[in-house]
Amino acid sequence: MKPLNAFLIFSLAVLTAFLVAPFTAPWLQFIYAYPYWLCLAVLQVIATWLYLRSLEGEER
Amino acid sequence: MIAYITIAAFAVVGTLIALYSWRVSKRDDPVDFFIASHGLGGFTSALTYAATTYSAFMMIGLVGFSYATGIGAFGFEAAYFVATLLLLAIVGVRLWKVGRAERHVSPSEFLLSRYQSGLTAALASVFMAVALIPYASIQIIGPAILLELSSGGTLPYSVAVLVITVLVLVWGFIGGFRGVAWTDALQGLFMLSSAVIVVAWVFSWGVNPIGHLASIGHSTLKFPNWFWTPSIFLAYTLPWMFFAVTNPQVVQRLYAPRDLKSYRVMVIGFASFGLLYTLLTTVLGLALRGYSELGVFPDIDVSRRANWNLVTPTLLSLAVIPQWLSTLVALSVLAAAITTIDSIALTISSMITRDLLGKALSSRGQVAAGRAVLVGLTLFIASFAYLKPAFIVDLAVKSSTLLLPFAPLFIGGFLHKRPAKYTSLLTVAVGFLFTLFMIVLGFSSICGVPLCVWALGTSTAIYAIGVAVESRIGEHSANTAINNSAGKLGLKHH
Repeated sequence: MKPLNAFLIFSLAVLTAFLVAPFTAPWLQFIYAYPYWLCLAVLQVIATWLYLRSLEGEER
Repeated sequence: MIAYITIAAFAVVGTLIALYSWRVSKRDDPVDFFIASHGLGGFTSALTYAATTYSAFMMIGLVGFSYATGIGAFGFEAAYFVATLLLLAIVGVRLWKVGRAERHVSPSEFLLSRYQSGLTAALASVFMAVALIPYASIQIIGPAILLELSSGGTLPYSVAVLVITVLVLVWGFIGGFRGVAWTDALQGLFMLSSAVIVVAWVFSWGVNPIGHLASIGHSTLKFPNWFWTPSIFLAYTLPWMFFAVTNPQVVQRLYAPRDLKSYRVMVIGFASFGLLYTLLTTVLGLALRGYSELGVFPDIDVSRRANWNLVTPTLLSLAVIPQWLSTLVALSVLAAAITTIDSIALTISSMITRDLLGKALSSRGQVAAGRAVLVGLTLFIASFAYLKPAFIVDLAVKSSTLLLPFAPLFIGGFLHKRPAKYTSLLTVAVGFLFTLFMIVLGFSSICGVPLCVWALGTSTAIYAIGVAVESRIGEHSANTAINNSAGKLGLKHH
């Protein structure tokens, strides 16, 4: 899979999980949404870093 | 007295940086004055991007928002954060490439290049200025009130407005984009470190305030809760999710990194700064709410919306807070405001100079005009802040909604090959004027759907239909031209 497609699919999944899950998943009420959002945000930072690294590789 | 000395030291350091950047700049070169010749390193780019994005709202508005509504305040900021990283990686990097290759200076130059319409670029510049001037004015109002409160009235509101105006004016006028970026970098570090110090100080009071909120099952730790419903969450997050491609002051910053590695450092540096700063400000709000429940911090009546912004000023006016700390936090809010205002003023100045006055001006004339516009614009923004007309606040709050119609233009610009000249014009004109009209009429939702959804939906629909129609017409014209040529040459076209 191309890095662009992989990044796009991953990011859209993260964004969906971000916006939809807190309203639909009752288990979030037990752990609170804060750490859940924080983990997703950190995952997105890592994915962005990896994708931009792959662009640098392509340019070289 | 300590407030005056600290502000004076802050002003001197910033002015020295601006003077140094003036010394190393290429005189009379508009690309250097407005965008530092596309040559900034990753670290400076990251800090100027972050400091421009994160305004005085964070330390005043978000702390109060978190105090009043709970963890949903982090959720809406973090949703913006995730969407911004996606946009910076997919759209931003392409804007950076095109901007570098074609030597773009203002965000509207991308629209001109992509859509081949001078009118679209000119209208975009005017509309973006209309949306951002109230937003810039409110950036002065908040910190000026805070400085007055934290100094115990020794620094009156009018003097605080004057101080902010002079600093914005001097640093932008002398240093141009490079000076603004360098002072942004210093101020960004200052904003982050003072947030770390104040949060550490608040948590040193002895009791775990957030643990207390959890132990009593407080609604601020729950999501959804009395405030955060799906509709409210959408109304807050949607305008901010597209911030990176709708606000010209941040779009312009995408042109700044000198190479792809610097661009990556900028994005990841901004992400690290943003996540930490958002965490600190929202945790501060939650901690103060916990202390209010424990009776350690004054209980602020959150049933009145206007009181939400009083949380940070109340913290800074506590008798137990050391004066150096209250001055430090007030100054960090001032820094956050200045970084946002000078970026907005310089970006609007570049759009007016390049897209409205035209490139007919000589290089020297463009820099001189840019400086003159910067002065006029800053004084205009400051006069609004001084007079505080009521409509300013309404427009400032809605500025991100007002700018939403630009999202399809910047994102869609990379999705099709043929320049959709008339579509771009229609999207800008109808999308922006429709949103402005609804705001002026006082609509925050239509048929129960938030206005931001209508603004984005209307402009995206116009754009999508327009591009499809213009592409069809373009293909038809091309086929007709081929057939005519073939007919003249006596060839049959199958």
